[in-house]
Amino acid sequence: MLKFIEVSKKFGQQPAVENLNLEIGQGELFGFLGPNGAGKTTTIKMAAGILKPTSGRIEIDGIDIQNQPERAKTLIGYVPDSPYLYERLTAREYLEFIGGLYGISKPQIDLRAEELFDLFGMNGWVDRRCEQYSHGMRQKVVFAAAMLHRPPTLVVDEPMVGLDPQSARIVKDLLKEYAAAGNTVFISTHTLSIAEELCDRIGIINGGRLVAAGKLEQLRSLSEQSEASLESLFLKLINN
Amino acid sequence: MNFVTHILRFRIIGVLAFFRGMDVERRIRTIVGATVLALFFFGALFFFWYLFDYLSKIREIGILLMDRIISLGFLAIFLMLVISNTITAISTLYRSGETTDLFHRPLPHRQLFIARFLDNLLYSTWGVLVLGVPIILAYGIVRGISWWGYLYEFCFILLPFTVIPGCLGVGVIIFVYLASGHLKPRTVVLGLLALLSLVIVIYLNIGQTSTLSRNILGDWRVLNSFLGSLSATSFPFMPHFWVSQTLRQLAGKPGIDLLLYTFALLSTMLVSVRLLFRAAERYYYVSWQNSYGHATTPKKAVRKFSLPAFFGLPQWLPSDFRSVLAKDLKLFIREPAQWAQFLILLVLLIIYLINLRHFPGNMTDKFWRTIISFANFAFTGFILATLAVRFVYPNISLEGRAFWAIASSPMPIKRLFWEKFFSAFIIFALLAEILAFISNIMLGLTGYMMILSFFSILLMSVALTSLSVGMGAVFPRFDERNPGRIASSMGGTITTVISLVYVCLAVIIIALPAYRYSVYTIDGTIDFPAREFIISGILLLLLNAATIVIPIRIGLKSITERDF
Repeated sequence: MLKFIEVSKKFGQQPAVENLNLEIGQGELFGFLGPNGAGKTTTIKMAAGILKPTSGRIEIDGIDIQNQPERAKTLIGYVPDSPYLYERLTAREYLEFIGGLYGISKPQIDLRAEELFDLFGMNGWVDRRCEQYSHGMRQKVVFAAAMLHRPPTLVVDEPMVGLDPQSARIVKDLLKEYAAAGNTVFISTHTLSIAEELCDRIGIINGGRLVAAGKLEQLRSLSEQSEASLESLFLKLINN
Repeated sequence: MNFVTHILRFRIIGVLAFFRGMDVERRIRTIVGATVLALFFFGALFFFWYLFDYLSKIREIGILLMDRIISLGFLAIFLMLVISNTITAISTLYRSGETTDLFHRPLPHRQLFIARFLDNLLYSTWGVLVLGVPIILAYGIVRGISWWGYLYEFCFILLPFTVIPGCLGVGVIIFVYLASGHLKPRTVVLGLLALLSLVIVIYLNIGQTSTLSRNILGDWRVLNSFLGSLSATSFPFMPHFWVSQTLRQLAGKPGIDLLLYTFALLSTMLVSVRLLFRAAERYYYVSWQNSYGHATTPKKAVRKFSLPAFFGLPQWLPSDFRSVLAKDLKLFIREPAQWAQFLILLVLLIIYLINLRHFPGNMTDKFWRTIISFANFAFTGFILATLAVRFVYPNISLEGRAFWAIASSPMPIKRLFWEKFFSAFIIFALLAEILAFISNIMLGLTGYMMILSFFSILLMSVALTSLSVGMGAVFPRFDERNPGRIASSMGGTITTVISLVYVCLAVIIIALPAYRYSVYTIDGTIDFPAREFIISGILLLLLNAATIVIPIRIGLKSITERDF
């Protein structure tokens, strides 16, 4: 479970996120939508423990990420929007490195890494250095690294960027299955069709404030447009 | 349209925007940095003025020694500029997003090259000049150079003196990438290193350093004739020699020689620039493509676990600590920019040690023995300071944009900081002690001096590692992939300055009681210098405590409170 309680973040005097209250339950796939600069990535980075909130609390399975960062971070897997890797490591070595950070034993890493490489169809590439990878391949490595320690909460910033249609399908199925298995999945995206297709609930953020959150039907009733597409709902809520 | 001025105009706009957009913290850092640099500048000016002033009062050989120091100083600066330009060119002219972006634009490759070359020259040169300018000013003050003399020196002498190594360094890197289309980059770099070693060995052998160490033990007249004889072996075809000669001319009655050496510098600059630009016109794009190709074309797979996997490291280390350590080792070995520079420094060190063999082992004069052992101690300290800034300081920045993986993992950032500290310290201290031990053996130092040297170097290793790791955490550059450029950034330059000041202070503090002690051993009538030893011990303790504790505290605070 992922919980934001009165979370705000300022960069200097500039507010990026203001008074965010949000709870994402177990088995739920939550989509976070918003225009550029709305505060999506800042929110996700705070959830991953990379940025510190200026005020408020973030809890992962009841553990405050500020007070017990090490414990909380073992419960979360994070996929950033830009998949920067150590260029001179291979995918296998990268996963070994990440596994070491989470205290996983070598046999366990090997076993899980093979599973994930199979899942993402990466087997021909895993012993080549990351500097040779395409954007999509890097994205796959980052996904594999985030899922290596089987975290109960997965936080993904723009999951489909750079993926080919086949890999995008794999990731979509994976996210659905991951949530269906009782885990919490929190994704941010610009692609409204993905949110519409995948998410159990959707949150819309604009100017650092959460302007709406709920199931698609709830959002429709909120905007008094019962048959509207997510795109027109999104534009109406943002413009209001 | 002149694209070069267009690109440079926007570069200036970018720099101005950077200064305008600074928050309070950055402003404070910049002010502190500028203050430290200014202090170093005036400190160096005072030091060289004091030295030259002292030398100028020594009859017969003072001026000769001064000229020799100027010549050697500018030789060192020349070599630093070549190395700095070569290394920086990798990230400015080749592995740079900005260069890639410019290649997409409809502008002639020649103009693109000129814009990037100027950028590279500026970046590689400014730090080195912080040391070079005080030497010129100090020399000028002592020898009474007029204001127009300085103007002449800075416009017509220093400009070509910095452009020539710039052309040389960039030319080398174009050749390396060009050759890498046919040879492995590793082979090309090793070949160049072998060539460099050969050149240095030849230079030192012709330079007759062994004669200096013997003759200096004789009397001043022998030294005088020795220095005089060096004029034939001072490489009159090298720019550092021309610079020293122009200074000499400006200090005296300028004659035709001044114009001759100025002409030599200016014409060499023009020829170098012309040759480089012609070579760039033909080969820059090809070599850039080679560098790009190396990063993108599929190569054979890396042998599985061909390097020590982190599970091979001691099990008592925490898993995350081992993991980061193994990753750092692998990245160091696989990064040519890292190990190539390391090898250059290693080659220079080995040559230095080899040259110590000329030192007369049967020297009995305690005074000279003390002086030379301190010169060796100071040299070791300066080498360690250089190594620390170049290889330890960039360690945290080198986590780069991939740092999110560690920042989002359960590994505490504090532990990462200590991993960087200890991994650097172990290698650094080991190298420092080996260097000190071999040089002491070569100099015939044993017993107490050896023990003193062992502990001093150990202390120095802790202090310099703390300084570099701490400052590296205060001024991280996660956007920069080239360690050479990280080391020559403002934070790196400040760290260099503080490290050099630390080494100078440490040497001065230890030298005082050692000098008194050597006098005491010669002249039995004076008391054992116990007071000097106590004061020196306390000062050394304070200096090291400050150099170790302060950077670590501010570094830890800075990195743990930082948003990534």
